[in-house]
Amino acid sequence: MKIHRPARRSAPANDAVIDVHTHPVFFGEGAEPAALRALVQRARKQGIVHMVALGDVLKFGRLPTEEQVRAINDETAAGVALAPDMFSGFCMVNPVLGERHVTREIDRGVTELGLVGIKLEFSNNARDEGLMAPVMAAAARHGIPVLQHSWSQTNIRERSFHSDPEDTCLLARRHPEVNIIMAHLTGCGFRGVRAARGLRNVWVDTSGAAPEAGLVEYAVETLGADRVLYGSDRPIRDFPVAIGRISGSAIPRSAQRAILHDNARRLLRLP
Amino acid sequence: MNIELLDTNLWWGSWPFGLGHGEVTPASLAARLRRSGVTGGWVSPFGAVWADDPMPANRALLAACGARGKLRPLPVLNPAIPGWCEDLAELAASAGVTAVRLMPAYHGYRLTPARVRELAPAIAEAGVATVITVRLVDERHEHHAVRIKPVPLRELERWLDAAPTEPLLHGLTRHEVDRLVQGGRTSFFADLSFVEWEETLAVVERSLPLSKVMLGTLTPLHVTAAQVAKVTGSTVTPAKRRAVGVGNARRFFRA
Repeated sequence: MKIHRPARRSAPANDAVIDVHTHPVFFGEGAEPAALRALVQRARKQGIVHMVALGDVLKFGRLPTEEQVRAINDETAAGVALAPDMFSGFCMVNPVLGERHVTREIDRGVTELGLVGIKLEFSNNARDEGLMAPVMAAAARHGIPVLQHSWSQTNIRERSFHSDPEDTCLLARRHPEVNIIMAHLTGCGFRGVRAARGLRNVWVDTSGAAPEAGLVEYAVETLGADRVLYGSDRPIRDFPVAIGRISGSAIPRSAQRAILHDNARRLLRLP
Repeated sequence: MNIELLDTNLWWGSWPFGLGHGEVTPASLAARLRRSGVTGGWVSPFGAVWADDPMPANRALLAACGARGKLRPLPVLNPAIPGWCEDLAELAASAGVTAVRLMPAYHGYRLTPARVRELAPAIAEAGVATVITVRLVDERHEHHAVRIKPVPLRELERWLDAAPTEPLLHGLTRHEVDRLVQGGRTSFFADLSFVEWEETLAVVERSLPLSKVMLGTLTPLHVTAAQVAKVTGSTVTPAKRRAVGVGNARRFFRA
C-alpha cells in the first residue's frame, strides 16, 4: 500500500517530540520487526524522536501470572533492541503477585533487559501500600520512574483495583523519593490535576480518551508546564491528534516545547 | 498540501460543565476554526441541549448564522415535546437549514419502533437530513450530577433499518462504527469526533468507506487542532482526505 504524505505535520516546525506513553505491541499486534520499523517511521514523520514502550500490558488481562509478566517484559525488551535510539522500555509488574516476584522482575528488567522505568496498570489500586511498597522500594533502589495508570473513578466505579488520580497522588506523597508519571490527563480530569498540586515527584501525561478542551491549559496553570509530559497511548490514539492536543492548546510556545520534549528528556535522562 | 475543511459538529453558547469553554460566540468560534484551518461548518446551539424548548436557541442560531455565512445552522429538534411537527416545519422552511439534529440521550427519549416510524419519515418529508448525536461527552467523564448514556446501538440500528434517508451519526467510537457495520448496517454517515486509532482514517476505512466519513471536531468541547489532525495528519490519499474534510459534508448538507 502506498503511504501518502500527510497534509500537515502536527508538531510545530523544528520541534522534536518525546512520547512517554506508547504500546508498540497491543494485544499481540505489532511485535514483528517489520511492524516495529513501520511504527518508528510513522513516528519520525510526526517529529517524534523517542518513545517510551510500555509493553502489551493487558494482553493477559489485568492480573497476569509471573510467567506472563516475564513474557510481556521480554517482548518489550526485544522491541527496544530493534531501535534502541528510538525506544526506552518500561518494566511491567503485577504487584498482586507479591514482593518476591515484584523485586525479582524489576531487578531482572533493569539489569538484564535494560528497562528504565516501571509500568503499573490496574492489577490493584495504588493506595494499597502493602502491595505498592515493594514496587516503590525497587524503583527507588534503581532510581527509575513509575508510570501509574490513573483514571477518575467517579463514573467508572472500579476503585477496588483501579487507581483514581487521588490514589496515585497518595502513592506519590508516601514515596517522595520516587518520580511518578500519572498517566492519562484526560482520564484524570481537573480533579486529578488538583490532586497533584504541590507534589514535586508527580508528572501527568497528556494521553487518554478524546482530546477534551481546556485540560492541558488547566494542568499548565495549576501544576506548571514542567510537570506535564506529552503521551499518546498509541495505538489507541493517533500521533497527530495526540500532538495536536498540545500544539492546539492556548499555552505559550515555551510550555509546548517543555511538554512535547524537554520535560521527558530530563525525567528519562535522555541525551 | 493544505486542504479545505468543513466541520459538521460545531457548537456555540455556554456549556455548563468542563474547563475554560466560556461563552462561545459566533466570532470566537470562527476565530478558533481559522486558527486550525477550518473554513466553516454546521453549528448547533448549546442552549437547545438543556432548555425545555429548543426553539428559542434555534431561532437565535438562525438569526446569527444568516443564510449564506460560513457558519451554517444545524438546529436541534426535540420530538419528545408537544408541537414538534410545527417546530420541524418551521426549521425546514428556514433559510440555510438542510438538516436537523436529534439528541435522544439529552432530551430524554428513546428511538422506539413507534417513534422511529413516525419521526424518520416526517423529517425526510420535510426535505431535511437527519443528524443524530450519539454522545457529546465521554460517559466516563460526565459531570457527577448527570448520568447521560450514549444512544444504544440497537436503537440506532432500528433507525437505520427504517429511515428513508441515511443519517449522519455524531459521536460514535471506532468500535461502535465497526459493530454497526458488522451487524450489516452501512446506511449511515459518521463523524470523527470520537473515532480515533493510530492512522484513524485508514483504520475506519476498513469498516466504512471514507465516502461516508466526515470531519466533526466537537469544538469547543474538544481541541479543534487535534481533531483536524485526524484528516490533515492522515496518510490516506489526498482525494480521500478531501472527501472527509469537505466533499462528503457538502453532499450531505447540500452546500
